[in-house]
Amino acid sequence: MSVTVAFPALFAERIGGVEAVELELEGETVGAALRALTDRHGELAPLVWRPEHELNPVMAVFLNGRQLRPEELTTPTRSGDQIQILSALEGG
Amino acid sequence: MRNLNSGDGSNVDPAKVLYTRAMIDLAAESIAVEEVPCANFEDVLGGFGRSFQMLMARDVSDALAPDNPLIINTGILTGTNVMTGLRTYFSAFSPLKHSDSGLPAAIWSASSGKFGSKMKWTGLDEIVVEGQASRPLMIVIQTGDDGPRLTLKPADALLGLDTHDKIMALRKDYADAHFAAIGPAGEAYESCFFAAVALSTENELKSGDDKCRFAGRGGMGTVMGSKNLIALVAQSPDKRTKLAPEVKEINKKISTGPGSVKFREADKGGLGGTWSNFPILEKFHAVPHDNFRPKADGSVDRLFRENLEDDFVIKAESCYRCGISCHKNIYEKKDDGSRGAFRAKFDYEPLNLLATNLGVHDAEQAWQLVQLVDNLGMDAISCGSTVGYVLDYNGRHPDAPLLNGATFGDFEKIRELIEGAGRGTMPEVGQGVKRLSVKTGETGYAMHVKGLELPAYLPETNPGYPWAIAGGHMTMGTFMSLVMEGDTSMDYWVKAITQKGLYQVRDDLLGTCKFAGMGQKMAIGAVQVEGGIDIPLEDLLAAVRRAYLRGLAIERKQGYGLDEYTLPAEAVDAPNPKVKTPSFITRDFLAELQQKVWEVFEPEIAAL
Repeated sequence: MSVTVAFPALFAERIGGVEAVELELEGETVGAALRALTDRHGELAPLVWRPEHELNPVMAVFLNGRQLRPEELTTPTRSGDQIQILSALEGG
Repeated sequence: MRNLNSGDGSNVDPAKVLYTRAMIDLAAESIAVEEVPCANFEDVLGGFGRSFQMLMARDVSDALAPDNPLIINTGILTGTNVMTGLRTYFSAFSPLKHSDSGLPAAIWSASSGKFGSKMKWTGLDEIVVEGQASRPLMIVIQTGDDGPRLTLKPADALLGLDTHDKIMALRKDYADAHFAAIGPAGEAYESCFFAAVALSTENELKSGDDKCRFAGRGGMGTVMGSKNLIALVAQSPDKRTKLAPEVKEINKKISTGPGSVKFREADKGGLGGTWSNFPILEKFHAVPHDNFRPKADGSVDRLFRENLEDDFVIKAESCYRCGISCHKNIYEKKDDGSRGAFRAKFDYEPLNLLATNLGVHDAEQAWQLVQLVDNLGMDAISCGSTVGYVLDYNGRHPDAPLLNGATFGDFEKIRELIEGAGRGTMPEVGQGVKRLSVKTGETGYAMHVKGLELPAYLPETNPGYPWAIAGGHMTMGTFMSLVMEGDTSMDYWVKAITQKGLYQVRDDLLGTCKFAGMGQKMAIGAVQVEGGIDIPLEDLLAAVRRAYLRGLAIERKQGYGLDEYTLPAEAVDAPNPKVKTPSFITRDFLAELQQKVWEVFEPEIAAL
């Protein structure tokens, strides 16, 4: 099954301008998809995870447009799912 | 603006793009309208990209003197179909931001609302106001038969009114118009150096609620007041062209895409506005509290949005035709749960700096302070940071306090300080924290950089502050880098400042709002379709970079020494152990950072 993870420019600039990554997963969760993303692109790990392997608290994760709470990273993924990770912190 | 370039918009010669400017001498009460050929892409794009070129050519030693030009202009996308294309820019030498030599720095301040669009629709791109009027005046801009028509009219009747009341009074006389006005703080220009300019919104005029937007930073309302210019009126029918499919797509991305997700409501896939920074930053104990000194005692939580939803009706509203609806307006909640009277708009900056950072954690008190600052027409950031210093000083000197002796959490006395700043009776507060701290001799905990008060992000988390040119967070995009990326290396910070952070100012040329979150491709597409200018990405970025560098160049011209590119001493010498971000900004770190950043910028400034 394939899911897509999209992310902001802050991420893209670390991996050559790529703005989204398609991942092949089997019976996995949103958290596992993010782990697969950072396994493939280690440069993104400091943005996604804190040292304790928790989600970086300044990041917000959406699954098909619905925001997930950190404890909902165990939500199962299905083929075609769109995961988006964004900064939850903006100024103004 | 007229584009005389032939063809499809590509290979644009800026000299064949003409903008319409009004030169106004208030002392002589004379007005000259002219078309001006652009000298470069900064002129074409507008905003501070254009205004700072004029300021760089001027020698101004006193921001309140008649020879300080006040430049009011728009960006190329102001008044277009591009969502958030609503910005008006006020540029001048600042009474607030000044070097240790005493010379004023140049600054611009931006605001949405609908005034800029109306001004653009009269056919006018820019106004340069010089001199000082001998009587209170307002500028009325209208659509004439062959271009904009400007007149000067007496404004005596507006004197003494709050910002919102001035706007509503003008509305009675001018239909289908929008307004920019100073409040009592701008009228008290000799005592209040952080007066703002209030701009009307569609919602304000329709509802009658005080929902102005503000050009707040750097005292542009003070400069306006010093010229005896009380208000501007822009009267024109709305002039909207047919929506091109490309712009429709851009607007859809702005209103539903990832760039604006932070500012939208949850039911629009958003995160609820800047207000939601509170709980995120508090995880790091990085919410300013009691003059930028977080206590990690849980009191900050009381102003989290989720904790106010039972007590108020919170409604997301917008400036004009904006799908982001970033305004989180607080209304009284009636007994039956329905919406009552409007109270105030809660954004992260004013709510933090006028409440939490002053030791105020009660929402009823918080909205009263936010509303008071708005009504008096002041910059919430500068006012809040300066009052925070007074409270801190008084806590350190209980036997010899400043002014009314207010300390953190003393709501009534804090209100007195704000009122005193805005009415001109407490110049110690109104003239900003740098001047006040120099007078007391205790500069280390005065939260400013280069004379401009800090926004609500701790200085110990942002060594990029010294290179912000017109406000710590909106003109140098490094203010959240530490909590987002956690990188404390020298190489990271040099690049963050010299290669990324400065491009934060791009929208301050274009006329769009940063909350739109437009990527570079979207911005170029918008300029092409709505501005008729096909600007390559490298030219856009080069224009933004030159505009930014001019800001630094003017600072240096106005006497800023290299040692002024620093942070408040307390943040460097006495790090707060409660803050959970890495503590890495030492004196040595700052010295090396200064050296490496200037190694990049100085040759570029010399080549401008």
